[in-house]
Formats: sequence, C-alpha cells, structure tokens
Amino acid sequence: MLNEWLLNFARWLDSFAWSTAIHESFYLYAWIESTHVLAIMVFLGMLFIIDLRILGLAFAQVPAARIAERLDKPMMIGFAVMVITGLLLFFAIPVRSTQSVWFRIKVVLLIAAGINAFLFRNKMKEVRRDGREEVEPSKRLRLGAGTSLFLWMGVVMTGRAIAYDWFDCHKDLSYAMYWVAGCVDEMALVE
Amino acid sequence: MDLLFIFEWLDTSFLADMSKAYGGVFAVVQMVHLVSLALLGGAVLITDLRLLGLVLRDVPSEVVTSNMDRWFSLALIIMAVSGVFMSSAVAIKLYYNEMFWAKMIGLSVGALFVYFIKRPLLAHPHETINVWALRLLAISSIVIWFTVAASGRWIGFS
Amino acid sequence: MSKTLLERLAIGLSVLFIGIIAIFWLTQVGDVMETLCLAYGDFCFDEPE
Repeated sequence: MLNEWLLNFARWLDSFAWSTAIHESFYLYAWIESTHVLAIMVFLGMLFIIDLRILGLAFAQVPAARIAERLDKPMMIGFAVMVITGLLLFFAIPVRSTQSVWFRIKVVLLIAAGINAFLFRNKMKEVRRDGREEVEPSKRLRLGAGTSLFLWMGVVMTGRAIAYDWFDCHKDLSYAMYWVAGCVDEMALVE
Repeated sequence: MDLLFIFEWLDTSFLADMSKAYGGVFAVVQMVHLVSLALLGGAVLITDLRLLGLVLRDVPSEVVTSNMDRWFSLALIIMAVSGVFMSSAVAIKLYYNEMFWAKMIGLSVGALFVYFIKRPLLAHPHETINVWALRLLAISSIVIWFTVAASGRWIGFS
Repeated sequence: MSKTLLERLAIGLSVLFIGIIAIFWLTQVGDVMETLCLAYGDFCFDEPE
C-alpha cells in the first residue's frame, strides 16, 4: 500500500522534464552532488564538534552551551544547502532512490536524528533558561550528543551506499527484500 | 620522475586483492573516508572562521586552534589510510586520471602548508601576528581543503 | 624559522594558492558552460557546431 503510493509519487516526479534533464546532464548532476558533499563537510563538521564538546572530547575549557550556540548558525547554513541539494538529487533520480533499501534506511535515520535534535535543543533551552550554561552537560545531554553522532554517521554512510546496486530491484532478491525496497512490480511477479 | 611503478605495485599488493574482491569492504572504507571528511571540514572551518573573526568570537583564537588541531590531524590520518586502500582498487586507472593528480597536489601542498607554515606561525600569540597573514592563511586554508574535497568527489565522475 | 619570515611566507603562498585554485575552478566552470551549451543550445552566445 505505502510502497505503491511511494512508487506512484516517484513516477510522478520522474515525469518532469527537469528531473530527466538533471539526471542526464553530466556536469549539472555532478555539481549538485559535489555541493551536497561540501555541505556535509560544513553541517556535519560543525555538528561533530558540538557533539564532541558535549561529550567532553573537544573544547573542554569552554562551556558546552557556548560552543553549541555559537556554531549553530554556520551549521544551519550547511544544513540548508545540504537539504536543497539533497532534494534535487532525489528529484533527479526519484524512482531508483525510492526503491533503494539504503535510501529508505537513510530516511528512517534522518527522522530519528531529527527527533533527537529536537529533544536535544529543548534540553539546551532549559539549560540556558536555568542559567546553567557553565555547568558540564548532564548525562542525558551527553547521551543525546552520542546518539546524534551515530545517527548522522549512519545517515552519511547509508547515503553513500545508495550509489551501490547490490539490492536494486532488478537483482534476484527474496520477497522480503523486495518488500523492504518497495519493488512493487517484482513482488507481483513472485506472487 | 615517473610514479607509475608505485601504482603498479599498489595494483598487485594485498590491499588491492582485498579491495577488489570485497565490494562491501571497499564501500565501508569509502564511508569512513566520507565521515572523516566531515570531521576535517569542521576542524578546518572552525579554526579558520575564528581566525577571520566570524565564529566563536568570545573564545580566544589560540584556544580554538589548539583544540581543533588534533581533530584535524586525526581526520587527515584516517582519510590518508582509507584513501590508500580505496586507491588500491583502481590504482592504474587513477594514475591516468587528471583530477586524481590535481587532488594529490592540492593535498600534499595543503598538508605541507599546514604543518610547516600555518602551525609554526600560529604557535605565536595570535594578536602579535600580522592581521593580513592571519586572514589570508584562513582563506587559503578553507579554499585548499574544500577544493581537495571537491576534486576528490570529482575523481569518481571523471 | 623567524616569525617575520613565516608571516611573509604565509601571505605570499596564500595569495599564490588562492590564485591557482581560482584558475582551477574557472576551468571547471568553463567545462560546465560548454556542456550546458551543448545540451541546451539556447544558452549559448553562438550556435554549437
């Protein structure tokens, strides 16, 4: 049900002339992807250092709240560029991405990372409101930072894996794998 | 000086046996390379944007530099090791790839610049250093490392 | 090395590197423009041959 809906959505995106144009143009696609990677350097670079500070592994002599607050703006600039180029990359190859196991894991990890970031931000706001900026981060905040590190590393790694075709629909896979990847047509053939 | 022999050696080394036979191992190493790139990017940007006075203005520049230096070096080492492994899978092809050489030159020059000029200079109290030296150092550093990263991605396209 | 020498090297080499890299990028952008021209002739000043 959801698989069919996602596939239809992807096919609808695929029907746009611009989607094909980006996909087929060698340089434009390569430039968007390179920009995506450079934006990862900015966003994830800032995020890593913030998380490492919360965990006490960098900038130990500077209050954690200050590092988190000061690096937020450059991090969000990287995030914005990353999201825009990421959406363009998806728009260029919608069907194959939708039917990629890696892309699906990536989206799940992204949602988890988003929820984690939301909770983390709320906790940081509390810290600021209570005037505890100078105090070392609580165990819960450190757990949040560690979770963030692993989730975002997972996002990047699964994102890189989308390029590999090991579990693409045209491969001979199990029914369960077809279902996970959303290979609707292949599932029908097996049945 | 012809460096082809290095690539021929790499192509027949045990690293190449592994990277060519196990696509999964190659992919994981590539992912590690990419994650380290992000760490490197963070360390470079925070150090250099601070030198330019754009971030963390209420933290002394010396503190920022000394904190980021070790993360930069760690990221660079992981990237170099994973990079050699990745190269072994396509060694001969890389030898004939222009973008690969652009990246290697940028990388070598950039690393020499960091360890022999930038770090020795920044070991002095920053306020005693010529302002233009600091600014240009920061700008060239950002430009060099982002170009190395972009040309690295471009190797895969060319 | 003395601090003054390091400062001079930092300034001189930085300018040199920024210049070389700027030229490097411009040649890449040139490639992109050429491709756009070939793909969408309307973009070009002249008709592609």
